[in-house]
Amino acid sequence: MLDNVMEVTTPENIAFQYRLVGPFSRLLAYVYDVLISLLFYVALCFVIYMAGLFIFLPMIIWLGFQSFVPFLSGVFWGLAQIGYFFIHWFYGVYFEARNNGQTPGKRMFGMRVISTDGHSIDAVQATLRNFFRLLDTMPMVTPSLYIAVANPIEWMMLPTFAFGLIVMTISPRFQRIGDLIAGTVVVDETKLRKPNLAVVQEDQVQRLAEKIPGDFVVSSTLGKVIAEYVDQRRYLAHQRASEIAGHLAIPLIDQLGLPPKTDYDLLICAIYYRTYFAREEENPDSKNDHETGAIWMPQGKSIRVSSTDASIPTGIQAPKLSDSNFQMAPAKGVESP
Amino acid sequence: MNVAELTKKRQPLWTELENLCEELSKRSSKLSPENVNRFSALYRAACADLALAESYHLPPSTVDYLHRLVAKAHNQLYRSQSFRWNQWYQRIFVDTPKIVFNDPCIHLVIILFWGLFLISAFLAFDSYVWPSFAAQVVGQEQLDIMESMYTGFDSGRGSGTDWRMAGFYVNHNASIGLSCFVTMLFVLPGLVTLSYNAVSLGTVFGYMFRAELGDASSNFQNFVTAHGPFELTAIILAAGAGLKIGLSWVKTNGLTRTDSLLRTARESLPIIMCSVVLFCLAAILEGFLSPASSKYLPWFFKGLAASFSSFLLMFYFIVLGFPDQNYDLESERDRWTRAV
Repeated sequence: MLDNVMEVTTPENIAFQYRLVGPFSRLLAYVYDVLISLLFYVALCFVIYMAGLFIFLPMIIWLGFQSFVPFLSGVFWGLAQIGYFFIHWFYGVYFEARNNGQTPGKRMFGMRVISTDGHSIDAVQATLRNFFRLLDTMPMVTPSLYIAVANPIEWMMLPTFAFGLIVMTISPRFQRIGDLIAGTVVVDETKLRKPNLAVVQEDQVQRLAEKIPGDFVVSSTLGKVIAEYVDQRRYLAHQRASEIAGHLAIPLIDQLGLPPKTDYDLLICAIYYRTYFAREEENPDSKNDHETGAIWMPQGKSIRVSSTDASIPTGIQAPKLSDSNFQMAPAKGVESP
Repeated sequence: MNVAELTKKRQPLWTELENLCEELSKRSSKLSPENVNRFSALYRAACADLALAESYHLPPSTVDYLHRLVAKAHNQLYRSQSFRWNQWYQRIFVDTPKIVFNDPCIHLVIILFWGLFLISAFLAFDSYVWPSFAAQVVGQEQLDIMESMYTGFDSGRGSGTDWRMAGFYVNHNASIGLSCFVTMLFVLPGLVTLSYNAVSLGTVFGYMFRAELGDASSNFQNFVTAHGPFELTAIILAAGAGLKIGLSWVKTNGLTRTDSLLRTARESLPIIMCSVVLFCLAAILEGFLSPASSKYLPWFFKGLAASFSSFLLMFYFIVLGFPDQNYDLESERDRWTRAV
């Protein structure tokens, strides 16, 4: 999760992140594409063959030109080879240019090719990145290196993809040689998982939340760390959970003047509950509901903003208090995202 | 309103945007005008949510979800511009010949290829200066094979075979050309391969033109004449386009290496496509015209085909490519090599 994202700023002035896809997921999509293109080739051969067998062959025999039969087989092989050339070199080019950066394999495995600047690719980029795949498959080896046979199959070369793998590992955004030359990256586009706010509704939590002083404001980093912790805590045993929570809770207990025997895990949950769930007095302005397209402005005090975030206009500033800048480095064991 | 309520309220809108994205990414589907409107409104709303979510206390999982949702919608909003056919006339008949005509890399490849080709052809043909040259370069065994290949050749072949061979040549030769282009990215191995091919081709040509070979020699001439101009030009273009890309990350002209590579790659793509077209034309000639027996088709017609194809090439690269006062090559280059 550390650097497999790429940040892009849109014309709407929003910075968002794309998730990049690594070499091995892409290999799956590639193998799928190879199978599909083989299928295309077989289908093409089948169509030409059937057309020859059931349309042209009877015609020739009916017209009495028996000597043209070998000619027909020549045409079949010629067309099949030309078809192979175009499928081999232009399969990816066609689909990526036509289909907004997705070959069937990429669509199947939820990926898309985009430009490094976040826009979709054009036909030139699609062509370049697919032509240069040849370099990524190198070095080629013959099976005779491995199989000691009397007559090694000279013409059959197996791609090792070693160059591609090495270049992808070195380049910062998992780009293979073709990607570097065309200026593209492959991003993840799998189905999204709905975000679920972890719910903590136990009475104890609510009771503890009420004991937290009203002037305590959670800074945005602290809020993030706490949310991350509560998300993960259901996978932890209670002892381990309070061990982790302790890093954060011990100084907090001190600061908030709570009884020293307060359960660490419970305290963090209480702060979480207070930050994300507690209903505070309703501001009459917040009744006007959000239409789509309207920019949502936080109303009043319901979501507190620490004073460092003042650059973004808010309705009413959170009251400035002596400790409203409560900041804290993420505790050990609770990794900040 | 607290975060939980907000998320609950927004979730249906986000889900709706996601569904519209799914629908848009289906190949054949077209959204109704109302839905397009709705899509853009939802996209703007999601953007706004994301911008604010970063600043206010939305939990990381929701922020992450919003990032991916906006990314997904962004990909549908700014779609690929497929193939723009109307620009192709300008690129094929105006820009490409001018770039090829003025390109130092292609000049270099022409000099290297033809220079080595002609020198070795002369040395192999002439039996006085260096009589054993041909045998030393390609090996006596190889020469004997070539000789016997063209000895019993003149009988002509069935026209079905022509079709088959034309297909074979398209696939085989154009693939070699593209590989040559691609492997030129690492300059030295590419240049070595090019020189090796120039020398060995030249030697075989020179040797096969020797008068003492008699029948084999005339058959050889009969076979190679017609498709020669297209095929040799195609090889040179492929190698030249490759060399351009290969040198672009060595000599960057003030750009960063990656930028220089990206720019040059876009610029050399029309050249390599041109080379693919020439390979296909050459394959058609090589499949159908070249193997025709001299009994049915005198050599004169093959010479005519070669002259005509040379004339076409000269018209394209010299007449269309000649520098023009009104045409500013640099600015045109900028226009179509700039990143999107």
